[in-house]
Amino acid sequence: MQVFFVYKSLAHPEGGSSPFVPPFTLKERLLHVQEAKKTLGATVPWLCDTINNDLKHALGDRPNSEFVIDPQGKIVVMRDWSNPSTLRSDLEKIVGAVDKPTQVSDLNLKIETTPRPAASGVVKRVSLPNPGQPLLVEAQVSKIPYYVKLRAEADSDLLRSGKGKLYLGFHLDPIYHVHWNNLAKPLEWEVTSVGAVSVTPTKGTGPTVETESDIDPREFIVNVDSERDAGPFDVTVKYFACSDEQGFCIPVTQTYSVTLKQDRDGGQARRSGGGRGPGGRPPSRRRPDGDSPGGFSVARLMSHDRNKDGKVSRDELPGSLTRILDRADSNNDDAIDEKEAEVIAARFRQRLPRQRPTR
Amino acid sequence: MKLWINSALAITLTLLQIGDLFAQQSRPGERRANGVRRGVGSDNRSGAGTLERAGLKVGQQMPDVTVYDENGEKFPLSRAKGKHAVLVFGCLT
Repeated sequence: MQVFFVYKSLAHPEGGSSPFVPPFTLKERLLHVQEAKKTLGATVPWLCDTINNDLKHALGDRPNSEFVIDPQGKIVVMRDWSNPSTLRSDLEKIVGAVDKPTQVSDLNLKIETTPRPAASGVVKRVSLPNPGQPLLVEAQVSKIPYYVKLRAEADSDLLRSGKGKLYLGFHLDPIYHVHWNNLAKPLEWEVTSVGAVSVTPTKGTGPTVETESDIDPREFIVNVDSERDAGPFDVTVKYFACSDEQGFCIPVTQTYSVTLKQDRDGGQARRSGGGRGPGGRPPSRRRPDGDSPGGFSVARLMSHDRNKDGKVSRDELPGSLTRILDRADSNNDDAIDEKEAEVIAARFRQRLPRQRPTR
Repeated sequence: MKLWINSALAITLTLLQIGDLFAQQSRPGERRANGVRRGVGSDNRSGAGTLERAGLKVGQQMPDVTVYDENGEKFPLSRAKGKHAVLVFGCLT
C-alpha cells in the first residue's frame, strides 16, 4: 500500500493562518510542498501537481478528493471529499483489517506554524463589494523571484460586459519570508500597456505606513472599460522587498500581463474588510435582486451564463462554485437556472435546515 | 505491511483532523463527527457524485499524467502501479 498527498492549486488563497498566494512556477509550488510538509509534520510522501494543474483537471477538479488505485492502476474508490474513517473502512476491505489500528495520539507529529517576518493587520484591507473572480495573470520573466504576487479579480459586471471594477492586490508571498520596508518609498504600480482596455486610474501608490515593516497586501480597486475579447494589459510594479533572514532589502521592478478572463484554477479568496461592516462581516441587511446576507447573489451566479441560455452549466461555473450546483440542481440537468438559484438564495435568507443524508 | 497500512491510515487521519492546514475550511452542509468532517448530501459509501459527473468512473484507468515528487523529480503516475495506492488532494489554504 502506498499513500500520497497530492499538492494542488490553492482553493482559497489567503485562507487559513498564513496568507499563501498562488505560485507562479513549479519551483514555487514545490516550496509550498516543503512548507506543507514542515507545517503538518507528516511523513507521508507528497506529489506535486504540474503548474498547469494537469492531474487536478484529469481527476475531477475537486479541492480535497481522494482515490484508491489498485495495483493495475485502476480506480477502485473515489470520493469527492476525503473522509479518513471511510477510507479506513475501504482499505480494510481491500487489504484486510489490522488488530490494533494506530491512532493519532500514537504518532509524535511536530506541527509548526509558518512564522511571520513582520507585523500584519496594520494596513486596511480593500476588496470588491462582492467576491470577485480571479483573472488570468502571467508574470513576465524576471531574474528576481516574484516576492510580490499580483492577484487580479473582476467583479461580475466586468466579466460579463467588459465594464466594471477590477481588484489589483499585491501580496507578499510567504514562501520567501520577506516584508515591506516602510522606511523606503511605498509600492507603486502603473498600467504600462493597455491595448483595447481602458483602466482608471492608470497608476497608484501604496499607503504610507508608520510601522517600520509589515506583510499586509497593498490593494487597489480600479475601473475598467474594455472591448469584448480584448487582449491582455500590462501592470508594472515597483517595491522594496526585505528579508531579515537573508539580510537584504532591494528595489524590485516586475511586470505582469492581466487578461480579462477567469482563471478557473485561481481559487476563491476569503478576505475581510473593504466595504463590509466592522470585524469584516457583511452588514446585516437584505439586498435587492434575490441577494441574501452572507454573500449569495442570484445575479452574480447567473452572470456566469456565458452562452446566455438562461442557465449556468457546470462548465460555466468556476471550480469553487460547483458545489452550489450540486445542491441547487433540482432537475438534474447539470445546470442552475434562475429558479433553482432563487431557491438556494431563499435558503440562505431563511436558514432552512439542510438536507440530511439517508443512512 | 499491516504496520505500514496502520501508520499510513493514522497519518492520513491526522492530516484531515488538522484540517485547517490542508482540507477545505467549509463544505456544503458539513458537520463534524468525532472531529472528522463528514460530507452531507454525499453518500458516505461513495460520496463521488461530483467526480462521476466530471466523467470519472470506478474501474477506469488512472490518467496518464506525470506529476513531480517533493524534490521536483518527474513522477509518472504509472510508477505507482504494482501496489494499491491512496491519493489525497489538498493544499495549504
